[in-house]
Amino acid sequence: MATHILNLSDLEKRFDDTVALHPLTLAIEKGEFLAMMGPSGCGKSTSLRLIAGLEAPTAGQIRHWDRDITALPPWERDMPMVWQSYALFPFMTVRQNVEFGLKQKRRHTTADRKRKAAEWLERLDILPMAERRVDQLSGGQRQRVALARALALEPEILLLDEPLSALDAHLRLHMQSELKRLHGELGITFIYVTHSQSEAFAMADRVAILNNGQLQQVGPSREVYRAPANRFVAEFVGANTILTGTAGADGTIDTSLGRFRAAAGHPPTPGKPVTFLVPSNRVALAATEQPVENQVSATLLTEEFTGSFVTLYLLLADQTEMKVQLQQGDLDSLNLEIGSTIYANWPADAAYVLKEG
Amino acid sequence: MTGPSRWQAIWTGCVFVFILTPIASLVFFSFNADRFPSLPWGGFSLKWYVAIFEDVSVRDGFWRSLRVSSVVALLATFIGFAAAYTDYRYNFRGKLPYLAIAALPPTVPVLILGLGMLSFFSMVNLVGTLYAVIAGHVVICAPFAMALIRMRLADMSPDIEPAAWNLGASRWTTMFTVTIPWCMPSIFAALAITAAVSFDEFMIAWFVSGLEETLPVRILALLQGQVSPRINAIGSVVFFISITLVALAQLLGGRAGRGT
Repeated sequence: MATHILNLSDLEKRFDDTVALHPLTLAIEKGEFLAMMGPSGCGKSTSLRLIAGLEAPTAGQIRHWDRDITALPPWERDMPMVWQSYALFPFMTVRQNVEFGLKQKRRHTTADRKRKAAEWLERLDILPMAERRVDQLSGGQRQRVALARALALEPEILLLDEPLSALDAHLRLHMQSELKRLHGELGITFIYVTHSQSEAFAMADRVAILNNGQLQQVGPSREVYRAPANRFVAEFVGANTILTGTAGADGTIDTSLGRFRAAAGHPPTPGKPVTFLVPSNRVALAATEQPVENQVSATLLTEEFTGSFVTLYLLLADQTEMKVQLQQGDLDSLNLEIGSTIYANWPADAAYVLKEG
Repeated sequence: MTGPSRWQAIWTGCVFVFILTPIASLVFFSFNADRFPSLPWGGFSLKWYVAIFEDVSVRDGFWRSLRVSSVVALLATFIGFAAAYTDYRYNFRGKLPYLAIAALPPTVPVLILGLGMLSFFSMVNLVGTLYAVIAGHVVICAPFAMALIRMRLADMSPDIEPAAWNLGASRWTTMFTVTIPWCMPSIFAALAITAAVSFDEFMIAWFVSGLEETLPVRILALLQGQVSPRINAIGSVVFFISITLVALAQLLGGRAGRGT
């Protein structure tokens, strides 16, 4: 008895000489919200198209519960997708679009179909425009039609391919919370592809990060954020300053900026090169040199206000950019100007050592 | 109106007059009661129209042309759609040569095409039948249909068909509920254009029709015998049928261009 709703095992996709997806093994839980993310060309969309059956894998297997669906055509898979381009049928009305999937299923009577379509139009607040043609709708409304069209099928799994990337920032945030709410209410498994880490972290239970067709890390959002598996993930998540050096005998790390101690993460092997992260929210700043360990001097490059937080970008002596997040109040007491010299320090237990290699 | 644009308007007007005068005079004199197409006006009359519709050979030619052009329109549009769709949906080795060959026939001089078809059809014993005319016309008409439908398909988002498959529609269902409805304006336009091209076509029909003369072939035969005002009447009828079909195609094709 299979325990996962969807099982990808060694799923691989090549186009002639290029590898779009290296063998990918991933088990997806029933009801979870999984975000697959990475830069463009990382293989996330290819994975989704393989799951939907729109591409045939070069090797590997896809199982839906106990059933091998690797060779099943897309129209027999029952995994509707929400497209980045919405892919609505332009010559149909909103209602006809929503009814399209239901029409393909023989098990629905006409009355049944009409009722279901109306229910989903209502649920996504698009009932008033049901008789309009889709080219008369705004981007946000089209997105709702696309969602209604997919959800009207009441699937077990919903696939979403960058569904919010064509919306403006305000609408995107609104739809994020709406998607999260729908996921909670419906108990459907969401597989969500995005290049935006903020979208992924805001909504997903688990995130899978891909790069160059290879899975880098998969895990609960908080874990990936706190303990990235490698330098790529750390850079992609983007909340840290990344420093490199050589491990010393007593757990210290020697870098061109001086000697540091890092107590979190993977204990380094003495004599080997080491990469460690300094989380931006654990750095303290001071105008003068302090009698503490893990201290660097830096030049203030820019500051960025995001509500009650301020993000400062500092330049270290080796040209590394350091990111520091402070409360607004902490910043005011420092009396900083762009270009002024400042001392940054952090506790050893905050510095996270990446796994070697 | 400023200077240059007024001169442009006058110039454009002159060009139109130059192009349209022969056609206008043809239509004009087809209603002239006199035997010779000259002024002064001999009085309004429909007798030449009556004469052509009483002439069995003209009437037969007209019906043959009509039959040929309707069958040609259907076949050529079907083939044109199929060619355009394979180009849209599939990528395969040799696609470029495939498209080049599909678009080739109108670039071959019709004289060569006519001769080639005559020798081929005589080998397969089809010369002198309407089947031969139909086959010949399909060859030159299908590329027009393909071009029109291909333009329409190029505007269809590549995600639309996969979206239909993804919602549970098989390839065939998708073809009939999504792809063909999308292409409908261009399909109507292709039907009209191919019918017009076939209805007008002379050279191939002249080579292969034998005794089954189509209307353009009949007209030439009439002209060779005697210059009669009946020619004006036939010309007017042919002109109005063709221009109606072309206008229809323009209207439908134009709408296709504006659609999303």
